[in-house]
Amino acid sequence: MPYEDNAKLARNIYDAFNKGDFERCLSLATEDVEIVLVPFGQVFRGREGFRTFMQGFKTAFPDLTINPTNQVSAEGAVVNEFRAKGTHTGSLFGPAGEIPATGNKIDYAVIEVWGIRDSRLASIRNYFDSATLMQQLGLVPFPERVSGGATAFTASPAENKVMVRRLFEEGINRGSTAVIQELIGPSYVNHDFPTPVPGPEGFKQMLGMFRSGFPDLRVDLHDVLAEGDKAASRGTWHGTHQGEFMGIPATGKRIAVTYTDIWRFENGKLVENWVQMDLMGLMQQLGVAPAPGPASK
Amino acid sequence: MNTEETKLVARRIPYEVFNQGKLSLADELVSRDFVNHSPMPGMADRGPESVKQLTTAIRSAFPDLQYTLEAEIAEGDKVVHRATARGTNTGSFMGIPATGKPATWTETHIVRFSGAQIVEHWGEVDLLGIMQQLGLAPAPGQ
Repeated sequence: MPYEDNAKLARNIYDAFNKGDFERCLSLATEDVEIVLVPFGQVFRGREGFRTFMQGFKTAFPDLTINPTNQVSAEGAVVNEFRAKGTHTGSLFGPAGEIPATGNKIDYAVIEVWGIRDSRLASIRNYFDSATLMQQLGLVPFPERVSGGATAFTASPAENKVMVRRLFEEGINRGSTAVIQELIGPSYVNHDFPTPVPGPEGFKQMLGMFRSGFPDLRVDLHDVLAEGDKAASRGTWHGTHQGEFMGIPATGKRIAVTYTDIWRFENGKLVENWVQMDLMGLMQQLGVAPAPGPASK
Repeated sequence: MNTEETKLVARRIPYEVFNQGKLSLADELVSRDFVNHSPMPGMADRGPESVKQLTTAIRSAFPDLQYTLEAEIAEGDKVVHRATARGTNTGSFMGIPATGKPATWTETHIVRFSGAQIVEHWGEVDLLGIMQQLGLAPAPGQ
């Protein structure tokens, strides 16, 4: 088999992947195909493993397309070089766990070493520029900031958005006080729901006040936007009114309250917060304010 | 439009349409396909007409109404505003007769642009704060 056929096989599989045609990709792989994602230390075995590998990337980056810019063929092998480009609109599962969608654009370099057997894909060793991917997802600071040590820095809007998402999804919904401690700066103040003390301790006490009224409290984030040193988020709070809240005894009612808030960042931490919540809607749902409508008393 | 342009257009809603009562400006700034995802109770939620209806309603309740922008965030096709509103309730508000009382409240809005026009809106208005200041809802602790 001429070596060029190995390069062509790779292009056919990338093409099918781009179209989301996993069945065609699987039909061009051996039963015992093995994929090693070197930077993540993950191994995917067999055709089902290959499917999981492809599905993982398509879920995290649905618009991901792969077009090799360089291919080197040899006997039983082909090396493919390309840039992975897409948008992070779904969860990515890395070695440290789930990375929720950030909405960020990604564009990083990849080299895949393919083994070919019986005109089929038998193995892939994937080496990708994981440091650049993590920077583009806002999960690690860019190198120019690391060299500055403890000096003040301004995180990028993309990084700020990740902080806001992590605070809601990990700090509040999953109840990680470690994440609250990590993200909330020592001078944190909330201008609309004043906390008894500043900093992460104040944030935890305020959250505790809401949780004592609504123990199953969770927030659905609908949108996160950022510019300069600020970010805004919009979402809906859900919970069951099982304890006293703002002087109102438990009603057992399920509530859904919309909010929009603004955050300001300093040195990579959340330091100021303005929260606008539909408190009128909350009071109405708890039955302590009249329902909306003209002239209702 | 880039975010500097969307910010300039978005500012005209509080500063010109609401503060100055330039109703016809809504036809220029707001798309015919506009959808308001957070309408005030009982108010229209489609097209420039819904913006004019809201402006008329709030300006007749608070004729000296003035919005001040406190924060502005723009990314992609969206602009976020945090604003403080001040006014005196000398007209009927949401069917409630005038109280003559002054009120200061905050609002947070997100608008989305398509081309040069606003096509979507989400927002929160501190209605409870307004009602409390007008003496129409119990204040905290009462």
